[in-house]
Amino acid sequence: MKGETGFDPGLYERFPTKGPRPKGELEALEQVWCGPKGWQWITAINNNFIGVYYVGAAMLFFVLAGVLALLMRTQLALPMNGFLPQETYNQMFTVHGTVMMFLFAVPAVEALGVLLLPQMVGARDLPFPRLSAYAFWAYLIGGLAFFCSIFFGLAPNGGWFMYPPLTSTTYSPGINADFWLLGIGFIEISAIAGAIEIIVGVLRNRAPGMTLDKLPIFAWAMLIFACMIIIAFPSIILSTLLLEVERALGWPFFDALKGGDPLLWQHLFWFFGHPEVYIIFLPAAGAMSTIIPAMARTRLVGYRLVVLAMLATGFISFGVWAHHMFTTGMPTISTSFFSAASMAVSLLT
Amino acid sequence: MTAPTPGTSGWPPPALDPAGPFAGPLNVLAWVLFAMAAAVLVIVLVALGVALFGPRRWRARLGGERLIWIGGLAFPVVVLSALLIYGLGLTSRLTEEPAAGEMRVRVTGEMWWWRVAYLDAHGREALQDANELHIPVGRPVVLELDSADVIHSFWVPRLSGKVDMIPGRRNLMRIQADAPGVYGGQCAEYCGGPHALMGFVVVAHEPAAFEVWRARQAAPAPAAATSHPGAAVFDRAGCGACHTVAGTAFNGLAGPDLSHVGSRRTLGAGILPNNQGTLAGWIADSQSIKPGNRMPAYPVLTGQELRDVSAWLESLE
Ligand code: HEC
Ligand SMILES: [Cu+2]
Repeated sequence: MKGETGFDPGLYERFPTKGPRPKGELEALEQVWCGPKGWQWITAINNNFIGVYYVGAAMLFFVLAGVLALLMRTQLALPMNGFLPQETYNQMFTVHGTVMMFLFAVPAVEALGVLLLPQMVGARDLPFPRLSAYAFWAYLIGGLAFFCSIFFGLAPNGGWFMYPPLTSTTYSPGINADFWLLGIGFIEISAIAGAIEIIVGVLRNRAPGMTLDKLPIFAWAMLIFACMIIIAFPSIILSTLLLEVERALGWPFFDALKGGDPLLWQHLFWFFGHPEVYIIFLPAAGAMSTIIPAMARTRLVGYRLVVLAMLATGFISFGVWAHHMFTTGMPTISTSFFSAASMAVSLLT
Repeated sequence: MTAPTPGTSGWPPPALDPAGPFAGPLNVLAWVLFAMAAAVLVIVLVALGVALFGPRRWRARLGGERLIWIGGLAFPVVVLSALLIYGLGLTSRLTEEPAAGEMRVRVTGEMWWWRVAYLDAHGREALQDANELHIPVGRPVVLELDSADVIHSFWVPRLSGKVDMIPGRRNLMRIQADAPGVYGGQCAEYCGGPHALMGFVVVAHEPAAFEVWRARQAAPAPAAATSHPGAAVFDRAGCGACHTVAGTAFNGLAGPDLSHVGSRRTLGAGILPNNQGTLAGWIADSQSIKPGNRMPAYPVLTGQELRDVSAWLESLE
């Protein structure tokens, strides 16, 4: 009997195989699965290699942003210190925040997933290895290009949250802000590509017999993480797109003088930005829930409860974004609602 | 560059020292939340200690699912609900609608200073000032906050929480000082360039002293002042294109109102003490004191001209 894709599930019956091995099988397999040699590493697509590159690149951005932080702390060590010029300082803290959030935090946990997940669910690789290789290279090249803008004094300087109208053409006429909008837009697309891969990998590529209730807790965390990315990131892609259209074509989405509203940006941005916190937190929590029981040589207590808590965290975290906007003069009823939701989300974490 | 001047402007403003009914509850709430968090931290640390070093029976008890239900769900639900209700009750007064007869002041955030207008009973702008807000003690003052360019945020920590100034919107905020004094403030939303140098001062007077201050503000510059040689320099250098001095022909609107600049405590939006020396320094080279601000530097003025114009401005009280 064949499935609709032409795959014959009857093939499973052949495993484990018992007959004699064909000649040369071992060599052929070793050749297919061997590591890249010499310059081949550029073309590697297996998750074992891409995963390592990915983790390494994330660490590189972590160090780069850390160096910026050290320079800024030096400036702040004394009041009115003249160590960094004002404009350089403004660019540095914008780049620092942006790199930490978009080029370190999310890619680092995504990289951990690419590196560990396939083996955890008993697969040889992620379902779309070329897509993950693409996501990695797009991220590395885009990220480096973005970071280098600071060496030319062209880095964005509107803060990592890029609130308009400060970032509109009136108050940021240079191409600095465009670097941010285009760079971050593409990096988010790469993150979504990675998320699709993780979801498909966890849902479709598990070893036979590994039902969802036997899934390693880290894989659960990554599954929820990836679903959250798919829901949250389109919001930031949309906002960068709108602002870029406003900057390039003069369509007033955020310009109050022409009938736009600067708060629209804040809602779109934090609808992404708050879940982002849990997008970073959940994989880390999943990793801890894997490491600690292993080290303590026990089973994880309350596996189902942990999964439930993570699911609920992911869900509720989409209802609290406006607590980043309590100072914008929202009506009391909405601040109260968002306070309650924020407390509810802390409950589950 | 100069260091901040604590005595003259109350700067940097202390955040945990409330001085009015709109700041007090926030401070209480902050400490209550902090204490609860500290208590929970202690509980978690004790549990961790037991898990690592405790006797076998205790450890077994820690490892059960029952503990998750109690410690992970029931306990936080109770504590957080209590905190939420307590917090909302504590802060509900802060957001009350302002009453009709309350004194109103419109504060407009500008890159990188504050335009202040005292409104009369009909909501018209009665008095213009900048970078300094005078209030009588003991009664609430309503601030209408808006912005002329980008988003700023009005924050005088000892008198209230932050409220943003957003283009196209008008946010209301109430402040009240319980004792006379000078309260420092600071723009609390990154607004580009010298955002960190966008300070502010609130001066609270006894009600009688406040009326005296208001009467003096309403009076234009004395006629004698306009014949001062400094006024001629002001005219020649074109300062009047951006600055207003009430009672003279200078009526520019791009920069702070200078009608009573001599009586201000600070210059450059809360960053310099105000005296003739700093005035002359600001006029000669405001760009190195506050890089990127919207007033050009005047290296062309001679020493004598600087002395004249700063003496004249200093006399405008
Ligand atoms: C292009 C418009 C412009 C011109 C011309 C100009 N100023 Fe200014 N001035 C400003 C602005 C804007 C500020 C506020 C700067 C800030 O704090 O960010 C200011 C601030 C000041 C202040 C400090 C006020 C305060 O309360 O902090 C003084 C004093 C002053 N100007 C004097 C002068 C004098 C004297 C001249 C002429 C020699 C002059 N200005 C010319 C725009 C101008
Ligand atoms: Cu500001």
